[in-house]
Amino acid sequence: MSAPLLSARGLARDYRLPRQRLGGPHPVHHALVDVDLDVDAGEIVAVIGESGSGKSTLARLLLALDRPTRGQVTFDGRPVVAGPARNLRWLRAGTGIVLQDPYASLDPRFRVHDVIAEPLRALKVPGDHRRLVADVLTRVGLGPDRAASYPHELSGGQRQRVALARAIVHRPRLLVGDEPTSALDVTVRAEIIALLRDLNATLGLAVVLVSHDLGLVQRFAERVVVMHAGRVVESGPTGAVLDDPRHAYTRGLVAAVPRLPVRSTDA
Amino acid sequence: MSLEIEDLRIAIRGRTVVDGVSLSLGDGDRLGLIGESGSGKSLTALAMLGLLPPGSTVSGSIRLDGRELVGRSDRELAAVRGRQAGIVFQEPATALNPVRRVGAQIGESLRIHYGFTKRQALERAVKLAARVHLPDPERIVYRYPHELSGGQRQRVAIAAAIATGPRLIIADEPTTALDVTIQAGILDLFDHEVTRSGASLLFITHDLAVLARIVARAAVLADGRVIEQAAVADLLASPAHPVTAALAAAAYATSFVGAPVASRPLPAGTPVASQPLAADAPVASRP
Repeated sequence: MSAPLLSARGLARDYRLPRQRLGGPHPVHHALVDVDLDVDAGEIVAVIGESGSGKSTLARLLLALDRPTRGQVTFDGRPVVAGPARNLRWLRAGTGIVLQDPYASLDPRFRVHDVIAEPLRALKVPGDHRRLVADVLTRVGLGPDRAASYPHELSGGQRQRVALARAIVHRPRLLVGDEPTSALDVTVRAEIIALLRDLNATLGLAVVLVSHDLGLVQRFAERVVVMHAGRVVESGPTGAVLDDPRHAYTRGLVAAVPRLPVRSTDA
Repeated sequence: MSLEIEDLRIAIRGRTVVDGVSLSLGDGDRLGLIGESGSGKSLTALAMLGLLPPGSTVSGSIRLDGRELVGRSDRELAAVRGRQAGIVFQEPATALNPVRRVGAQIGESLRIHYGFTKRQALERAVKLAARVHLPDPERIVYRYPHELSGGQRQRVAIAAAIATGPRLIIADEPTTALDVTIQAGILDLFDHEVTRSGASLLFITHDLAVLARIVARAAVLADGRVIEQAAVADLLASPAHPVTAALAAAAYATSFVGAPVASRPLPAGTPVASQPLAADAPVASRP
């Protein structure tokens, strides 16, 4: 068996909180406690949980956007250590990230072309950047003509496609999505899920999807990791975990999701 | 309380955002308003309470129990808001005043509209806090909003909305900002309170699964118009308008599918995260 593409062992992140009184000790919040995670090349793994579960902290640590208090992340066999950008170019070249809010994550002063080409410049990717941007715009369903637009000229769904294009333009092997569809309308959400699935199938892109949206996770992820209060409480194949949750927390979570009435045509 | 909206038009700085909406809601009935962002569903609700942003113009008719609201002064609309209608917004963190104690906010409409003294209003706030299942009602009324969780803040907002026993309750995406386990408790609370009070309910959401949980009938809005109005089951199973069909298809393509977890029902209103876990130890991962 080959080594996983991404691996985390014993990952922990503590935050010092403000003192309760002058000169008193800083209380410590354990945002992440002893988390292990493996993601194979081309695999789709969802990290689910609610606010404060530690799932976004985990995503940040996986991409060296934050430094763990304890534990180790490896990507492609190399240790991931947060530090200056020049030491992380190899990691940035192999990974991409999409965040929740496409309004906040695109610089309004940059045209779509510049937004998407930015990682190509930063990573010194050789080749015709104009061509690479046009290709990736086509791949995310926008078309090369959009390169000249400004973010404010785009709808929320189009912006999220631009954010995705920027995340994959340099052909990473891993995409981390932190709630990439949460801010979108339901019809747009369905389109973005279809696009992510297509990128996974055609590019062999591994995906770590951080989400509280169990409907999305159920349709998209092969494996699911359930987090609660900074710990992984349960993990396994998506169908097994969501159809037959074993941990009390997962059972409560699954029970709480509102269902649509069953349609006769779906039976 | 009956509500009749006829040919409601709202323009904000000359741009038409609600374009001829007509709706009717009988006394004690529930109606859902569904649509995507920008469809006009929230503005329709805000217009009823005179809460539209400055620079808005309204025409058409909104009648509560036959009384016309369009064209009334802010003062008259404030009286309607306080006595006859209660509203709960999406984000309790911004809907509540951060520098006033929770109890004062729950009892505020009683003081303003029914002449309660500070003490009477506070006593009533404690009862209301208990009714919406806030923990330790006697003490929580002295807390500030930032000391509460998101779900608790939304319970405060609901307590404030039902304080005067309104005959119409308007809920604008009341659970959108909440975690799913917290959402379940808040929806149960809404359902229970609306049934208990017999108030009419206008429930605004973009989530068809949430809609189906709370109301039997809904109007679909798109581009400031009602494009379809029917039983929720029919909107989902046999939508008449292509926009409704797209909404239903997307909902079925993205929402969770699965039988309820039968063996372990949660006590109503209990946030899962606060329950002691049966075993704190993680469950062994399945290959």
